[in-house]
Amino acid sequence: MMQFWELMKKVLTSKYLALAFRLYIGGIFIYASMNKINYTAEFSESIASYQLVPYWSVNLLAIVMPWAELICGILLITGIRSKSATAALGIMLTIFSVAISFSLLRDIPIGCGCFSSVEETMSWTTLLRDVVWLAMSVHIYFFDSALQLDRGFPILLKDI
Amino acid sequence: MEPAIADLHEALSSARKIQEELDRRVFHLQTLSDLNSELSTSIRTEELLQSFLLVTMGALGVSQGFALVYDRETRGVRTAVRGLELAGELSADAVERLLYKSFEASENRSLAAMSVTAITVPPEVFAEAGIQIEAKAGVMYVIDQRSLGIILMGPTITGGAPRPEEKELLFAHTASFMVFLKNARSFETIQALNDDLVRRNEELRRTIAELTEAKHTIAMFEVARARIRSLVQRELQHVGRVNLLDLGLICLLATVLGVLFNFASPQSLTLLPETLFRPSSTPIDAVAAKSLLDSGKAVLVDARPQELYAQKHIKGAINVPSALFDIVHMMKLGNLEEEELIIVYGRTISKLYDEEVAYRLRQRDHENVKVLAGGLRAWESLSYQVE
Repeated sequence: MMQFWELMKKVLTSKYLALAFRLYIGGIFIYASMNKINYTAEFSESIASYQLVPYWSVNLLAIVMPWAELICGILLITGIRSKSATAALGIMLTIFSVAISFSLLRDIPIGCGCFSSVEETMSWTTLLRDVVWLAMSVHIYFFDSALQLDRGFPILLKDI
Repeated sequence: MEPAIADLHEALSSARKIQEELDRRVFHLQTLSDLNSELSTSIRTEELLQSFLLVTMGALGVSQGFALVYDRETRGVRTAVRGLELAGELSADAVERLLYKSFEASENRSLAAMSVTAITVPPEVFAEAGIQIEAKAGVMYVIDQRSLGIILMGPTITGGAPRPEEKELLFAHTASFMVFLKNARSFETIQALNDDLVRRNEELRRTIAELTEAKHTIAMFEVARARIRSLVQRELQHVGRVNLLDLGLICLLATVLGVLFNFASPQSLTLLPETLFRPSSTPIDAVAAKSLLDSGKAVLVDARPQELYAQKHIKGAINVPSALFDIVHMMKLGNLEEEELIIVYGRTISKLYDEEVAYRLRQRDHENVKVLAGGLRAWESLSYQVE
């Protein structure tokens, strides 16, 4: 029994599991940003439908947020500044989860606008999905150390 | 008496011969002195050869002369001729063959340094080397292991061969010539060494300049290396932890890229909503609106998206979402008179749907468009009917 728990602990804290999560979350965010970048007007409608941010900031968020997702996704996949990128994605996922929770609690019948504007009305499953992604981000934050480009700096320093 | 006179005549004749011989010797000594004077004015091998040949030919009274110096180390051939033409340039191989045959034909077959020996080489040997000379006297001389040569003298002006004492004179001239030649060779060697030294000095100067330049470059690289090291070390400190600067950079980059892309995109958005810059529509309170609607003097429009309308709306309101304005207007409000009152409602914290639809209605020539003050909430607070 002890061996099982030790094995579980080893697997759950593995840097390779964190790497897999990192690539997955990075890919998800890159994919999610594509549609939003191309259809900014629709994304601004999605943001507005949450009824959480003042109306003057909606367009600005619709323009900037997809690019932040894309940049963080790329940084996460390449392993450059992955800690900061994970933190940024974690913050975004927390905001998304809170927004979805508010909408569900206020019973606002909207799609989540996570990937495209034409989506099923969001539900508690949508929130669960975001929470799982948030948990993955937390795992990446604490256990990720494999295949990071900027960890090559010590080798570079030795060469210099 | 007569025998005494005969003896005197004989003595006189003998004295004259001795006098002639002495004169000749004096002349020879004079030419040797002239030769030394002449040779002492030059330190160049070619000039020495020419001067030697000229003075010696004059001293011996010959019409043809040939002098050769050969450098075995560099295989260099230098010649001087008078009274004859060479068939062409003498090659080193031809000279070596000539010297070998001369050595074979020499009297004492010696290669000792500073030695002179008489040679009797058949004329065809010279002819074979391209030297058309009727040699009546010849010597081979060796200055050292490196330099040696031959000197040939043609017939005298009277057509005969030089006499033995003149051949001795040739030896003496050659010996003297060798001394000067040796000095010239030494001078040339010194000059060559000097030239080499100058060249090396120049190379050294260039090398020092290059080294100085390299030193500057290395110093520059050292500075660059230190900078890169500090940069990398600073980067290393950032790896593995969250950096506020990174988050700031991500935000900044996203803003710059987003704004630039939006600016270039055909479906670009304004950074701030256009309703912010338009004058507000005329408001109408819920009580007045209810009264007008009940009396059929106004049309009520719900400007919110279809999902929100479906969830709850004022009874009798027509849903005209701004996203589908054109098609819905044509279908539901197409027959409306332009002066008829339209009351629009529906706004959230994030979007002024009512202002947007009211603006677009005014653009469609609806002159009398008002916005319900307080919207659905004000309507509900008065307990008016919703569905």
